[in-house]
Amino acid sequence: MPLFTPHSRREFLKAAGASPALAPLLACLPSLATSAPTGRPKQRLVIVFSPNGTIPSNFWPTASAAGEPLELTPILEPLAPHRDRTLLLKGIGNQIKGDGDGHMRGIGCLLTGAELLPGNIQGGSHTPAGWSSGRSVDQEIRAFWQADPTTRTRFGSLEFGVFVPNRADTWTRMVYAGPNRPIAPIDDPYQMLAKLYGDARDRRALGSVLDSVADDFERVRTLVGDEDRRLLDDHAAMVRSMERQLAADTAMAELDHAVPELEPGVVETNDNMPRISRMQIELMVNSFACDFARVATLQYTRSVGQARMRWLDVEEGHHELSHRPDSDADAVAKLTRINRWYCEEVAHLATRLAETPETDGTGSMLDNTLVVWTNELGKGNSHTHKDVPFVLIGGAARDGWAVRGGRAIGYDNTPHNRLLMWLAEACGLSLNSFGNADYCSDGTLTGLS
Amino acid sequence: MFLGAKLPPIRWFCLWLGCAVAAAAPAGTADAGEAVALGERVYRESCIDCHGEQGEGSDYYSIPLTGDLPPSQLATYIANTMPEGDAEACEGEDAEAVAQYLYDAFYSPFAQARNRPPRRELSRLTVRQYEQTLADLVASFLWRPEWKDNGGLTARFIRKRNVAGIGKPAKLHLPGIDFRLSELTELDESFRDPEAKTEAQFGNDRVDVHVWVSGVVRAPVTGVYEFFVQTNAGAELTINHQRVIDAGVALANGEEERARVKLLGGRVYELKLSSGRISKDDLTLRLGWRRPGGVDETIPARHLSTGNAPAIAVTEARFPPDDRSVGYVRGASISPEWHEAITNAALETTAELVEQIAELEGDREEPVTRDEARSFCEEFAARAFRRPLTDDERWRFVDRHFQSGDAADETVSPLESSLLSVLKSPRFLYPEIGYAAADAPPLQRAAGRLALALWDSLPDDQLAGAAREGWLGNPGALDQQAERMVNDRRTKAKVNEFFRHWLHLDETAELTRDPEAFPDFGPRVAADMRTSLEMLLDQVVWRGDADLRQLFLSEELFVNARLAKFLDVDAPTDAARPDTFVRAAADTRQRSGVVSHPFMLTSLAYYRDTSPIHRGVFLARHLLGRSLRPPPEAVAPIAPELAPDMTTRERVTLQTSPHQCQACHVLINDLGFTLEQFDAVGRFRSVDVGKPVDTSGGYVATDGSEVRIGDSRELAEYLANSPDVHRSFVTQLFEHLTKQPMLAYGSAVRDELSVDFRQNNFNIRRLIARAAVAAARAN
Repeated sequence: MPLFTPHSRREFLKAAGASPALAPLLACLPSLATSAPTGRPKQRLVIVFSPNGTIPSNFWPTASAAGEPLELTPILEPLAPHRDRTLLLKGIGNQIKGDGDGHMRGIGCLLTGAELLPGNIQGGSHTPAGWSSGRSVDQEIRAFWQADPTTRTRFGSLEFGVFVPNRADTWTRMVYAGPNRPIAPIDDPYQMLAKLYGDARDRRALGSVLDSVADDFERVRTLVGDEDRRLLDDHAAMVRSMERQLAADTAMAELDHAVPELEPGVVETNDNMPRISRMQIELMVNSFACDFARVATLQYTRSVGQARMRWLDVEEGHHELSHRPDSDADAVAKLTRINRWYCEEVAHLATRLAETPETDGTGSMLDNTLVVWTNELGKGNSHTHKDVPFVLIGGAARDGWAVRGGRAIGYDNTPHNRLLMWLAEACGLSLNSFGNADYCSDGTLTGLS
Repeated sequence: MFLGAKLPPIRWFCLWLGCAVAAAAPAGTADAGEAVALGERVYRESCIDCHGEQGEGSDYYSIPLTGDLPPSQLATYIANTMPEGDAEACEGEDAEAVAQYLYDAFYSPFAQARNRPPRRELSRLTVRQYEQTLADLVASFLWRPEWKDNGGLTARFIRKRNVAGIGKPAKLHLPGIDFRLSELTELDESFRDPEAKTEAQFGNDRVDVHVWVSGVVRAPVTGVYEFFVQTNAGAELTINHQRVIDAGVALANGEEERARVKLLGGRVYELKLSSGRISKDDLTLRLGWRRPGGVDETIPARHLSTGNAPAIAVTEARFPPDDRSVGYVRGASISPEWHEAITNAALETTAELVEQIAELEGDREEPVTRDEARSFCEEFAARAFRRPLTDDERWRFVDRHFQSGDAADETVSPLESSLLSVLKSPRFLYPEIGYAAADAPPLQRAAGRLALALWDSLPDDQLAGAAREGWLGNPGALDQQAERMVNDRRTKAKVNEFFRHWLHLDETAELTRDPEAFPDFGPRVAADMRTSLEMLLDQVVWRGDADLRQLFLSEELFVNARLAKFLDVDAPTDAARPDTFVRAAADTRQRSGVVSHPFMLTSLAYYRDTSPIHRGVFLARHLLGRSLRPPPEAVAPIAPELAPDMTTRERVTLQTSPHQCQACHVLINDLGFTLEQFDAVGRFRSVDVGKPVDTSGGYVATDGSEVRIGDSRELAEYLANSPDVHRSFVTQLFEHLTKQPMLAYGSAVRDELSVDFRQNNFNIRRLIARAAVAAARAN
């Protein structure tokens, strides 16, 4: 095992553009932590991805494609506390063609609505492909909000991951800043914490030792002659000065907000997925509370993800299971458990948002935040891009997303580009199309509010 | 300005008064006594107002009277120029007497050492020492890589249909990565041609080929290396366990990816590169780098080997440069920027150790226990302080941090605060404090100093073990350890840095020449010249019998096809591999060793013309160890355009003809002129502006002896046997190793090392070991 993995904290800080330990405490500067109050609620978007398709029979309501009130199927049952705020969209498909296998196009075109570029990544079938040729909708919205001083935040968007394999290829990337420009999710909560609060942590560690370091200088200064002692005294003075500066900074920082505490030492292993998932959700809610970002994505593993959910008594890898036929009752049961587990995580996120009031008095965070849970396939063993699951939770505030939940809507073989258009337009962006315009001719999706 | 910015600012360095051996004044005779009295009287009457009681200077003239000219040259200078405005007032016997008086009283290095003996100053780790120490401190918990030195990398080729492998992989040893897959004739046809397959075997599917390259790369010096991969496919490059190029998905709009990586000199780093032929296009793949101060090149085989290496901790903290005002890098001062840098480095290292401790503690997945963390910290502190901890230290640096029983109460982990307190401690940052604070056993102190002198780092297991078990105290044991350690890559890297400074290798990056005069000169040739000189140094110092004289006398020249053509040298180069260097005989009887190496001749020249002054000053200061000072006034050289009929020699002679200049430029010019048979790009010439080149010159040594030097070959022979060169080399190398003034160790150490050096055929490797041992033994 390498001593310093590519995901090391240092590399991470560098990638995040964060400066060394003693740079000003950006996180705590109120001007950067919050935008100017406008009276409008803080509209937010979260997109959650889980892989390998669903089990349609245990996911979609049985009675009919659409209905009200929403019928909570075995997979969707964990959303019971949020039933009234849940909107299920059926009949939406990813119709983008071109290079790449089903999983590649499934994730690469999911949020971009655009074809993959020709490339050199060869899957188990079809032609090789490269990155997506378009920008993903979350980044489109991010750019729009960042351009406006009243909605601009420190990061704009945060890309969370859970147990995403450490390699950059078409299967592992969902978010694109633009054509050919994938953005890697951060799947280590400690790295995310460092991105959000790196300075503070270093300062705390330093603050805890500087007094004893200065004390150490006192002890050793008598070991040298007068001429050399000056050097040591100068050094000791620098230590004391750093100590005073830190104390002053810390006092200021504490006036702002608390840094979240993470359970220490959770290593990125398959079996730790549940803990890492919850840590990431906490960090996301915290970063919303601090208004660090208004767009977030949460990507569980990747398309073709091979999580082994032993905590659900599933020993097989998820992707491998997803290829089993519908007649394999064991596989169906296990895949149902897997998808239900993902639903539990989504429901937990919704609960945490619902529990957290907005600081500006505009209701709960869930009122203003729309969570979209989706997948790269409709069904694993057929690799279909039809009936891709889209579950919308929250976003009920009238002067925000204005989503009317508690129901399911059935569409008829509708390109998902129209849903992406709706997401953008609900944020105030006016678009004639999103991604491949050929799939947008019927305009933005209707009936959601 | 006439002086190009590419050259050292020589015009500030006229030789003012110049090093001397202790030429004792004639004593014991009445005449001698009278001469001394006369000299002192003259000094008091005519000199003291401006130069002060002990030559310290005055408001009117502030530069102290110290230097290394022999008394005879001093006397000539005084007779010609002093006192200012009335040069005839002090001549003949008066001038000789006053010259001898001030030489003995305060001017000579001998008098300086007697009046104000240098001392070993308390020093912090220099930046290089800090970086190397930190790397070894972390590495001491890991396995050690082996440098097989087999000049190349392993490339594995795997055929695939979609994601499934087909047939047996192929493995090649490649001296460098720069190939077109279809042209790798060592490979079977089915690897090289995507169509070359039978339908029965693979059906209609295309066969892809994936390439995995692995091995280690050696960093010759510390600095930022820019790696690049050129390919028509995707590529991922991992250096030192960090993925620095992550372009597994081929970019539509570019065939090159670059990444900058800081590496510490003298270490080997794991390298992995993957790419592949997907679709029917042939694969091209090239892996190159730009070394610090170098040019883009395919990574040469001599810096590559097969094998693996653990990750090396290279701090990203940015340090201000260390003081080099006394000729060698030292850690005698601190600044807030430095303090901030070591703080950042400590935080960075601590965070990474905390992250990776489970792996350091035996490569495992589960978290370490509190007890394991505690004992790790104890071992870490002992290694950092280069000795066992005292009871008090064990409490302060380790146990105190772990005393709270409940992990949940701790906002900072005990591991983190313990490690941080060690890395911030003066016991770590000032090695001598570390020894004094514990009343360290002399053996541990000697081991620590030996490692610092040779490696800029910590003792390794073997040396630390020898100190711990006591047998380092056996007669000859310290010498044996030093001899072993001299052959370590870390010693090579440290000594190579000495040569880089000694031979100005640092200043080469932007060597430019007038394209009209030298159309075939360019950055690539300049880089080839530097490589050629580095290989000569490597050959003489590390592969040969390490005889200092061979640095001057070697008649070999390392050239590749490009450089051989440029210099018009006959060499057995391989046209198919124009970058590969071979050993060749130097082209002319005139060229030998470093002094007339094309790199030196070029770097010590102007844009179009030679510069005998630059060459002379280099010879005087760096090789002969003469001290130089700023001249009383800055002087711009005569532009060649203003005197088109004059040779360079004639122009320089005219320019420096005033008395004021002559006293010094006799020395500089007479050395520099001997190299005039080599032009501004180091090529041999026999005429300058249509006139035959005059290479006659000479030298007056610090002991007053005079020699005439006819040309570059005679110069090389003189330098090889010059006591001034030998003494200067011993002193400079010693100070580079120890970061302290040599005389602070007493003149006996200097004399013993010099004698030993001479008696052992000027063996540089032996000198390095002996110097380090002398520093380790000091009280």
